[in-house]
Amino acid sequence: MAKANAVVEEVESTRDALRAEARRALGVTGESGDEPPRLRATLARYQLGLYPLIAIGLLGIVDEFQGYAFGVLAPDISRALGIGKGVIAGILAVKTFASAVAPLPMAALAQRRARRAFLCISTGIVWSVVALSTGFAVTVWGLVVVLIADGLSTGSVSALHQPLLLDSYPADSRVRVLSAYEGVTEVGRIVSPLLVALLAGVVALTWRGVFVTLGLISLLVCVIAMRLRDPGFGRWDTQRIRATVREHHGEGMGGVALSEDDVTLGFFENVRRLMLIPTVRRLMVSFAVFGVLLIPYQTFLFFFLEERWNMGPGARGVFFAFTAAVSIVALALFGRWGETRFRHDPGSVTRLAGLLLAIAVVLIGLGGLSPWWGGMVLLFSASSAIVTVLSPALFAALLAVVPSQMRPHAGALAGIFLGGVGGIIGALFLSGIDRRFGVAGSMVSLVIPGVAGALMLATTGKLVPKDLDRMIDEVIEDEEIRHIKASGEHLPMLACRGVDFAYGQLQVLFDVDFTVDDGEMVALLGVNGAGKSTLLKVISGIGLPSRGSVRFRGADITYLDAERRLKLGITQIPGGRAVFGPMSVVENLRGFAYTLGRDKASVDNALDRCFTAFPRLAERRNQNASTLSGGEQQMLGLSKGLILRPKLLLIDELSLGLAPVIVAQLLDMVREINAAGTAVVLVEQSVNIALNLVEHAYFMEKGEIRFDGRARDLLQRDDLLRAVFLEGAGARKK
Amino acid sequence: MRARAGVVALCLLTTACGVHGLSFVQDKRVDITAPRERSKVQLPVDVAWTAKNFRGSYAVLIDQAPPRTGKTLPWLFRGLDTCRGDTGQQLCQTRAFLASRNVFETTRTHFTVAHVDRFTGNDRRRQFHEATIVLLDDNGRRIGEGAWSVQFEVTTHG
Repeated sequence: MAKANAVVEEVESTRDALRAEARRALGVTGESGDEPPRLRATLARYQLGLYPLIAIGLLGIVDEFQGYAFGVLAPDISRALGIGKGVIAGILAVKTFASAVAPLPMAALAQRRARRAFLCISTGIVWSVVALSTGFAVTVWGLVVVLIADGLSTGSVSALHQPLLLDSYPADSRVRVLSAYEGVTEVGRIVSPLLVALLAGVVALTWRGVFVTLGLISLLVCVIAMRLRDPGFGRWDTQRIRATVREHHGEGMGGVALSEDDVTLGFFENVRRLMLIPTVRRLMVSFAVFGVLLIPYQTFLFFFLEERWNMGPGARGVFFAFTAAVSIVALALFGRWGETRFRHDPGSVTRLAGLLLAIAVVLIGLGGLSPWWGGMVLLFSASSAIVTVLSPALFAALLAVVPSQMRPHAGALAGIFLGGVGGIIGALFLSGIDRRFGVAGSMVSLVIPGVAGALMLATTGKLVPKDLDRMIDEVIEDEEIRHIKASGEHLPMLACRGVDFAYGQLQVLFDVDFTVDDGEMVALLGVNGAGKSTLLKVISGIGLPSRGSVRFRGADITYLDAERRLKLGITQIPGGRAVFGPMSVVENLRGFAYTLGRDKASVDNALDRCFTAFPRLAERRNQNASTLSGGEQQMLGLSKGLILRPKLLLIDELSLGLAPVIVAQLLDMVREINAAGTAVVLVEQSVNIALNLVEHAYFMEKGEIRFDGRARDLLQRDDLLRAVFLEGAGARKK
Repeated sequence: MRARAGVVALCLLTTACGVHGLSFVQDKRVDITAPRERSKVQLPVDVAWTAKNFRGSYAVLIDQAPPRTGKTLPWLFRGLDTCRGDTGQQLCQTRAFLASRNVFETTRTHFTVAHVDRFTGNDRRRQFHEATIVLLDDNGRRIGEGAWSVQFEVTTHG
């Protein structure tokens, strides 16, 4: 027990000592006005070139070719193929959906191996071939196929491009790199219309000719991007923090694996874990608002320019090219400025983004009301420039607080909130306003979601530094545990550190530290509502903490699914009657044995063990569990421990409401299970029962651990135990 | 599994695409001379065009996509209940029926648009209408993928 706690204290002290150093490694110096060197100079210092930025940027440009050309050439396609506008709109809606869901499978493909560069090139080739194929479509079906394929390939960008860029360049240049990438894609917004105008107007190609040419250009870009390589997850942040810890211990790179079991998070575990990060949750709402400004707003702006200012396709093309040019200038200015602010305080970037968003929607509203054409152009150009710089600001904050291997998932979620939520809900919102108040009214109405999003961003500012530190702490802790394991020191079987847990807004666990050693039997005591059962849920994976870590034999299992923890050897017997009432005893036991697989012999052996241990169950084997007495039901519940033979057994309120003779029988069985090598955590309200059984006890009160030590020492703590006895007395009185 | 999915995708793409009779360069045989693109007009409005190297008939479609290459004008309405069965098919081939749907056939190089359907749903939406001209062969089938169109804004509806 003391050994285990010593290890934990060592980890915590190293973490505190290295946090500031790790922050600096991430480019956060904390000094105001600390301007970074020019981007070129920064890259030269690390002997890096602009190739990754240019290659990914070029892919970002050609990514928009098909979509842009299809929008402009839709009337020609409609006339050539004899397809109504309604059908074209329907196909485009399907494409939007494909584009919205595409980032998720891409993130899943990239999560185990760092192959984002390969996926970038592959998806680039796919959308190039799709653009080329569009020129050969002869039916509606053909258009559906090419547009879905285009949506799936181009939609993947949000999961791949920004995360890959972040790992390709040092952390102290990330805002500028993201701004530069956004600038390059803005260039695409100028190049795409010009290219389409050139091919259709000057070269006199039909829409088919335009698509074939764009497809070929896109393929050429893919060839240029072929040298793109994935630098690995977190090369410039996570890996540097790890290196800092290893330097601290005078070690080289490499090291031992933390666990022989695979505890790498799966796709949904990653997504769920991301949504537990407060900054991520808030930024996703902001991305949805941002999505309204990027997608439906642009469509309504088309209508607005046409209807209010009688601007035809050519004039609108020039207008959007002009706003894109203004945006590029804004991005160039923002990159360095945003970087300086990020270095000083990463939260200030989101606060700034909130302010900018509020200004942008006000400018849009004024633009919608402007009686002067020149004023309207200036107002919309300024708002467009501001909206454009939101992208690097939001992505820099989002990707900084997220573990490096989860960045594709974070990018994918951002893409979904941006396109799926913001795009679709925004379109419905603006359509409704448009019907009631006209297109100018819909422009003005953007102020409402915009200001709400701005407030959300402003309040995110204070969360970013905390979440950045949490990410740093996780990496340091992980590396520290690796160091301890490599040096042959003993690691506790289970270590929960600084665990917070909340049911919605109601927090019930506060900074809980809880350790169990191999083969140990631990009692977890406390009054009703102290958080004992909740802590068991956090350990078994039924509940996920909002902060802190849960480690099993050193491996981080904080966000692992409950069924995967079961396979690692963690089993929980829930409080109350832990049985399936309508099922027979045998069916219950077979249900517990589900994870043993199809090995009939081992399942039958396990059942025999239970019947030997609890002959009463054998007598009632075909009886429904709900017809058993309370004690028999607990025997059946406890059989789970006998069947699965876990490494760690969590038992919640075994003795509640049972006769002493039955309790004694059950406790004997718990002792036997423990004697066979299973560590046991026994949650009890009965102090006598618990302390007669264990040597190590914890006492919880109001969600906090108030005592961690030898059981007999707890008996001396009247101040703590009085609460239990008084409550027990109170309960008896009632 | 991935290879199979790739093969399926490739099959879908190839069956949905073609190479014969596709136009990659714009067909310049027709040039619409009136009205001016996106001009404001009052009904009735004359749509006029010049044609080079073509002697046949033209289809004029108002706010309506033309038929696919090789299809006749009644093909556009094949899905309507009124156009089903022998009687329905005969009805839908008549000029009167096509005209009621804003689809016209002419051998001349001008056409007078007397009526357009007012766009409903949003009174504020400007009333931009579109006239599309395609070439027809002797059997009334569309020739090639060439289509020429002009947009005009109707300020008063007839």
